[in-house]
Amino acid sequence: MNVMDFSTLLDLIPRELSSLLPELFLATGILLAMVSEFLPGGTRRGTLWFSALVALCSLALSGIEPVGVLQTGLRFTPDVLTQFVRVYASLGALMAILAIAGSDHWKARQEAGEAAILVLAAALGAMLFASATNLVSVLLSLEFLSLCSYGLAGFRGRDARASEAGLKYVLYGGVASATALFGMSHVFGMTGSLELREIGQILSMGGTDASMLVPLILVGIAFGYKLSLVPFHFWAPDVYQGAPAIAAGFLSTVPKAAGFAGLIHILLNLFPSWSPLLPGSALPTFLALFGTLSTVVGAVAAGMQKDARRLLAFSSVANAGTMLVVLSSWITAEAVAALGFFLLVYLFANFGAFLALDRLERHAGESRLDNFRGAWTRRPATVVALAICLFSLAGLPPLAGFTAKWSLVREVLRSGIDGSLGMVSLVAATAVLGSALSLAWAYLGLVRATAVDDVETSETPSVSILSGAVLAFCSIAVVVLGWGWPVLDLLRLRLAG
Amino acid sequence: MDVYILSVYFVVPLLGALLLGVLPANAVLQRRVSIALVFPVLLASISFLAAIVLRESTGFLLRERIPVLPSLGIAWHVGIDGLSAALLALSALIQVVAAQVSAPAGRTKLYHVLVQILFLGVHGTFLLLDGMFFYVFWELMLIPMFFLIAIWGGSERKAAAIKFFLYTMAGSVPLLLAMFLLYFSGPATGVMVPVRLQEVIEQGRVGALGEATLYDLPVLAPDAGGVPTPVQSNDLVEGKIPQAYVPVGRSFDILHWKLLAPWWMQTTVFGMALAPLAFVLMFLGFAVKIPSVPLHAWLPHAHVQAPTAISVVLAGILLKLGVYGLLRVVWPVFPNVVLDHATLLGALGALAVVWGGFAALGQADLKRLVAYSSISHMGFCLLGLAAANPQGLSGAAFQCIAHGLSASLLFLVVGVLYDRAHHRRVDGFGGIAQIMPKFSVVFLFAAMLGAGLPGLAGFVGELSTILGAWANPATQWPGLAAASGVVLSAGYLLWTVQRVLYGPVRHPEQRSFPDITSRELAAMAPLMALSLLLGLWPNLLQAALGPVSASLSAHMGWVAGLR
Repeated sequence: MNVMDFSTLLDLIPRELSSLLPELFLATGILLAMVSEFLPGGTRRGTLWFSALVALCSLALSGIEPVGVLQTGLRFTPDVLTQFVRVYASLGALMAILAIAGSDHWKARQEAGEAAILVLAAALGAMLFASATNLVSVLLSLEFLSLCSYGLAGFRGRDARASEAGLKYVLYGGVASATALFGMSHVFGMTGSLELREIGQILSMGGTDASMLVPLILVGIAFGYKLSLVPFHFWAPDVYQGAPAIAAGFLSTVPKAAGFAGLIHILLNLFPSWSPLLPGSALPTFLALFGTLSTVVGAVAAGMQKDARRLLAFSSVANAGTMLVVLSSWITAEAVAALGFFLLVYLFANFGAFLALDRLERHAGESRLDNFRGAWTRRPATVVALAICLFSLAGLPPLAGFTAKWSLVREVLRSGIDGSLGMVSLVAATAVLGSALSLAWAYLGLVRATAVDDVETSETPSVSILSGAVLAFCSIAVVVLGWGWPVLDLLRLRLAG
Repeated sequence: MDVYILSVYFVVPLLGALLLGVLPANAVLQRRVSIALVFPVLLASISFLAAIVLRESTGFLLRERIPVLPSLGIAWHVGIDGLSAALLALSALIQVVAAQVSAPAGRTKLYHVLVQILFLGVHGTFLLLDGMFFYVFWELMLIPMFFLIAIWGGSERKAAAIKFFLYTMAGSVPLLLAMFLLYFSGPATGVMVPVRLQEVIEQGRVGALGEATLYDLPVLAPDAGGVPTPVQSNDLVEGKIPQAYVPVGRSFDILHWKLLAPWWMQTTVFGMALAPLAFVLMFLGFAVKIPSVPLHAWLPHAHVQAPTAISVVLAGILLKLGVYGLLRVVWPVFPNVVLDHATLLGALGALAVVWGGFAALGQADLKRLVAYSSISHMGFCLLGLAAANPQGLSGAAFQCIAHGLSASLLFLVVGVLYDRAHHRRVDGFGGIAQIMPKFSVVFLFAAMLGAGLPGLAGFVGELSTILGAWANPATQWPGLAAASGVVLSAGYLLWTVQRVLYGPVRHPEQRSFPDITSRELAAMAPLMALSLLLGLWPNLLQAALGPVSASLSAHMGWVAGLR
């Protein structure tokens, strides 16, 4: 039992707080931004700029703040992985806020400032989730992240499809959270502890029976929903279609990074002895096949879409599956580095793709492929950036998507040949590489409509330099990270330490 | 030092793409700059080729390996030997020719930038010796080629471009998978593999202490006590060493894969024999590009839809990459699989020769006809490869160059006709010889070159692959079958010549066609001159290809003999 007397708790609070400095800073920033919304002289743009500044400072703070040694007995235990998610979420939030500030579809809207605050809050939730090592903190940060996501998804409130998106997201998300809570209460009931590490110790002592599988499966299902893995992915296309494009870009990337960090923490804590020395464990095989299923189904479904946003939604399902596959290798520094690099590239490529759609859609949500025909005549640079992001998502060299997929498949096969995964890893690797075909077919549809078809259109949405700059940053990052081996090596070294 | 000279192949297209992107979108200016950009590359390739011929070099003239990330086993490893130098020279020539053909109208700047990126991929594929980077450049050609067909092609261009893209990518996926399997099936802790002494003498270098190295690995031999010790370079030449070894570990390096050839024969992966599995996966990847029947369906479609200049590039150089990949990666690494299945591989080649020939006979569209004749002619390459003797291997390489010249010339000729008539139906012409006499001479020359008339380059390539196949008992029957393909190619080309050039003028409106212009002729003249030169003096090129082929053949026989 995890019993703490009051004085120990008082003693722990300052230590815990000091290890959460970036989160505290971000929380303060969010509160100030909310206040600035109501200041008599304050403008909506002012809130946007202030939020961007907060995100930038949070990025800097997360990058330089050293991660302390692992402290036990706390609700939040930040480690290198947490630091990665902190940087990731801050960067994602910064790009999203700048894109909102520059987007034509948001210019007329009064709520742009509120959206920026929601983005920051979602980033905070992601950061907290990535350091939570206690069932209560896991659940609370998950809910925090989810609530902000619901708000962002339903932001185009007056549009029927947007309302559908928001409502669907809330309902699915609520069910997922409830499932997780239900499972966690079982875990607590069986082990008498909320600390993941202690639960792991009890599990490894063999003090439980097969009935422990039920709550674990329930928690797993909740993760499946949040990460949009097949067969729990049905919300994703509707939500990404109805949400503002920039919000969809943010929601498809940052929560995913947090989700995988949380999943790794849970797996590492619950199964501390999980290693290649345990060939009997069915969990790696299960993870590999689960990920393969998502990869294949997502890729095939993406190839059948006639709507750019639904296409990107299914491609994100496929990508989430690919990322899950790498967890099937026992969690080495190399594998997590490959996953981190993949996530980083995915942020630039996927966010960039959604941002490009935002710049090309004449009216928000008009995302049928036909609507983009001849876009190159109006916005050649945006179309080039979109093509770069899409080809990277398909994993074509010399773009970063190839480098990411290459290192990921490499770790999967390593766990098959050096480890105990065996033939399953070959199946998974083949699926990951082969799904690129179906994804390429899907992306080529969009590339063909935007870059090849020549339909003269007179109507031109106004676009801003700011969102163009963010898009340029994304596409240049995708090209530069194609030679991202030093970044990959850096991640590996940090994680190995 | 070497690598700085070779970087011309990477710097010129990269900077060229940037330069063309910055320059104004003036068609004449862009074309002139594009042509000017090729000359450093052409000059370098010819110099390398000349150096290789003069030195009778069997190995790499220049080779450099720079570790990029040792922890991941990635190195920037480039090298040029007779095979890559010859193909790079061909590639530069084809690039000049293609640039002289008028670029298709519209989006001029994008067109020229994409062509530069395409050739960056071509150069990288011919030069890189690290599996991962080889794959990067191999795939790099996909994106520009997709746009070049999809934007500037004919009426079905988009479908053709997507078909090309997906076919090639479907081949690349098994290729990449095989590369990973080779990496992870490599000896995890390093192993001593025996090496052929002749290869050490030919390819080896002298290290810092006068010790021999082979592909940057120390060459070792057991001393009196049986302990492996470094071999002095002099001892090798003087023949004091009966057998040598090199320590090889897991690697993405193609040359290390080659050294591990004896190791692959006895390795299993996931309970399956590695060599046949990886061979099939890699062969699929390269065979799509050649293209080998039955993986050829993308080619006629892509050729018909692509603009003339891109058809020239596709037939002239891109198809050669498949043969190059087999010669560089697959044949040295899995000699036993090749030798065991020579009959099957040769039959695949002969099948392509005959299938392509019959299909060409039945075509009504001139471009489709040339496309199927390409499939037929590239079948000879596979036949020569299957024979795996020096004559067959060098014949396959020679046939690559010869076909590069003949197919490009045929596409240019068809382009001239299309330019005048705006259609390519064989039955839509007649008596063109009366209207365009100068053009008819060129057309006849191209047809003779394609049909393998003695005295022209095509004859040498086809003859030496057939002779090579005959010399290997396993490939005699495929060789005989392919020989009949020569008759077929004479048949469909001469029949076409007869229908298009001779007879009465069947379409009076064609009387107004102007004869071939000097600019069109200027694009074709180097191809014609070179095919005549190589036909009369094949040794000019064989001197570069022969030693490399002989070395590869000896390596293959040696590895197979180890069993």
